[in-house]
Amino acid sequence: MNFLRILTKEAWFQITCNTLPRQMYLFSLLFVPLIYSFVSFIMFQHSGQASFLSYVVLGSGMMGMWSSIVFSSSADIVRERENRSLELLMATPTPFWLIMGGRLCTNSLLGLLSLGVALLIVRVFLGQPLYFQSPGLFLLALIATVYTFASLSLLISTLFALSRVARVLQNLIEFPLFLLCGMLFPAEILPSFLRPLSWSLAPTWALEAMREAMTGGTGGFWFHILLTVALASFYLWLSALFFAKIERSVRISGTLGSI
Amino acid sequence: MAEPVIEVQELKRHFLGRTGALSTKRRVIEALKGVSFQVLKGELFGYLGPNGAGKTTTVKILTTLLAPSSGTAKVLGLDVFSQARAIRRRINFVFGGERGLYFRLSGWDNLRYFADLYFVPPAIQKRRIPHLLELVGLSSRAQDKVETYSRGMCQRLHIARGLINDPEVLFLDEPTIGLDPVAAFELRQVIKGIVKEGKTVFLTTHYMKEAEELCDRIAIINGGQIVALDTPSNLKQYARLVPVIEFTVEGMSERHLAKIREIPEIQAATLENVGMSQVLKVQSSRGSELIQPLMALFPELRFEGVKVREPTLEDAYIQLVGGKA
Amino acid sequence: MRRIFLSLRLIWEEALLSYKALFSWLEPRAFIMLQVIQPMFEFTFFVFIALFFMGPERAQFAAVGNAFRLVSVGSIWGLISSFRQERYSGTLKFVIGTPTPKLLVFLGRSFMHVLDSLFAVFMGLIYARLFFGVDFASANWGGLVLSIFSVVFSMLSFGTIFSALGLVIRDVNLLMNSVYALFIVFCGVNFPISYLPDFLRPIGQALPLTHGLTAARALIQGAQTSSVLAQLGLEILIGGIYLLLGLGLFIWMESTARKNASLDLY
Repeated sequence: MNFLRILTKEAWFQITCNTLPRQMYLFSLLFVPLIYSFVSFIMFQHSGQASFLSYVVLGSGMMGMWSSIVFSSSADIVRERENRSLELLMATPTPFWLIMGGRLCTNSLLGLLSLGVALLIVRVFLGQPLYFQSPGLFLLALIATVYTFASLSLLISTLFALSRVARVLQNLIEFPLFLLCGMLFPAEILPSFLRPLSWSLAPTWALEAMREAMTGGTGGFWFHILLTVALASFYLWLSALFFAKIERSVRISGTLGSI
Repeated sequence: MAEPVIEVQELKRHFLGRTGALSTKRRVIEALKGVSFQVLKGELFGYLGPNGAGKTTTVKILTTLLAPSSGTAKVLGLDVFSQARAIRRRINFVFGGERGLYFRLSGWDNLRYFADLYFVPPAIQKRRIPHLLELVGLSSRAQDKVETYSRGMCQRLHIARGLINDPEVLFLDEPTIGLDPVAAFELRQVIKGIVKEGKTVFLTTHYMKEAEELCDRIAIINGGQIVALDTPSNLKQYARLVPVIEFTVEGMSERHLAKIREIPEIQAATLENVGMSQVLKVQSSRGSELIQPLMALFPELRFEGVKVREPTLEDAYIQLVGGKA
Repeated sequence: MRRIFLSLRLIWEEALLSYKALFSWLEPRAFIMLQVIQPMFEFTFFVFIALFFMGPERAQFAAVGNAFRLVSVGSIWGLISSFRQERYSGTLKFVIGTPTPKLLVFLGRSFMHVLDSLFAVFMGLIYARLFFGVDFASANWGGLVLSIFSVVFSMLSFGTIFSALGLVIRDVNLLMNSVYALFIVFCGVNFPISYLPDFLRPIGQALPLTHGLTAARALIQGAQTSSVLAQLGLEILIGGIYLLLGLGLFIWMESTARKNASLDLY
């Protein structure tokens, strides 16, 4: 079982079938960072705080990334079921979680394009100087971010597959996360009762880490990276549980596979 | 003596369903009530039954997609529940219908995708994919996206997908459903070819003619139980003792049919629409004696013709399955 | 006289029926989800951005702006959805085939969305008051209500264009989100239009919401209705133009569909 081969293949599949051909996906990936970088930049211009530029760039980039992931990944398993190919996939000797995992990872990687768009817009079209205090650490934070988003989207896709109630909440995953994770503003300014929610979301810490690497902030970088990775790994562990539950659902109660 | 490739013992499967959209009461649906049979290597085994009989449930269990509620099921000597992974490499299956393929990919890419999932080495894929496309007659459309395929073409691609890992056992669940007669005929030739290669084929269908033409042995399943298991010719014996009267009639309704079925001498009765009129088939040991009384029973109907003939597999099936469903 | 009464009755029944038929699939839970909770999160999000970058005063500015922007959910998305739903359930051809003048049908159909939108704005303003301290103490309520109605009118009118387009475009989701983006960027919702570069400002001036919003903000501070009449007038005028465009589009589409059978409308 060639792990890498399966991953690349699922990446190819995801790109060919589930992402690029869908216009709304491209909108989420490319247009959302465009819109929000522009809007936040205008507000930034009237803020008088040079360091806030990091919010403009990273915030809009991450918004695009998350938007595109929500649009695509969250319904990946559900889509397979509707396509009647879920059972076909499960019946192959390749582990189901690996098939889905490969696709979701691809989405997270593709999401980096959003960040690219944000960087491009701010640097080139808006003509702002962009300095990365510690490029090496930024790269590390970026990897942690991809890991974070991948695990979160994996978790959500399994929840969607398992629960009809969860699917009603599909519209609710986007903006609440923008709000709570502190994308275009630090989570600190949110009312205190919301902060525990922010803290339990791995992207919050990933964003903190990225900002610190960019602006050389408070020095809590390693702590934040640790938190991100820990939380993301927790999500991953939960997803593994849910995947097992999905397979049990399909095989034992026979409910998930058939419509 | 060929060894058994599929062994099923007292297989039972139930589902929990809800009684209504709003109620929380659970209802137990018994899809399989204790099914036992064996399929030998190289056999083309038929599984015949009306809708809802339990055919698809059986196939899903044997292809490791569904767990048995009780009883045992073994494929190639491996248990379907605990040794599923090992089984999956060596079998494959085709369900009827268009769904289950990736519309945005071409036929070729669909096959390639599944070949990878079945761990077929790339070198072998290079040979096998064109061969399979040739076999099902899709070579010229292989590069087109599946969304442009007709239903028959989708079905053929499914067959190719079913053979992509060169399985030892192939499960076909109503493969010709919805196909026009020519396409169905071609598909049956393909199936015959597969068996000639030494593979075992498990075929479910509700088309008698298909079962009769293709299968070495047929199990007739109804209401979750096997009511008969034998070669087609032996099965016909069941009905041989009971002649069939065919009336061509006009104006008959379900009400009339129900009345006929209540008559004790009548073992089975069905009504079929053929063109503008209807064909009423009645099986009874009293045979031609019943012609006059039956016609007298419904003076308001128009009887256009009567025929008494030898029973076919279809008649045997109807009798075994009750014709009172 | 009787004809007017009958027409009114027709419109009312049409409104009720269409809303029930087309939105019955939206059970209360989903309704609340879509119309209340989701917009609230968006609202909050934008206000906090404004708060962070520009301070509490601008946050309030954005709060009022977003309260009005909420109209777009009911009036644009709602309108597009109900027409698309109509088309997909196959009832569109029957509705068009009836002898009732299309305008009446349309008026009835929009009625529910008017209510929808009004509900959204009021809810938004309450939210702005409760959570972001927008001060309504000296507000000119009469004028404010007038401004709300003018915005709802112009938004719905704007929506007619997109409902017509929505019948023939495949990916309506994309269209919707693009329209939303327009409002977020150009209409002075989150920040004053003066913050935009010169060449972009005219876009906002031509869109619905902009003028009504300017008037509303002044009215909340207690301005006299007479002082904002120009803005309100502009808003209604813009709405009227879009309405004509939208209806024209419908008429054109209908006749084209009949003549060429090219638009797969029915």
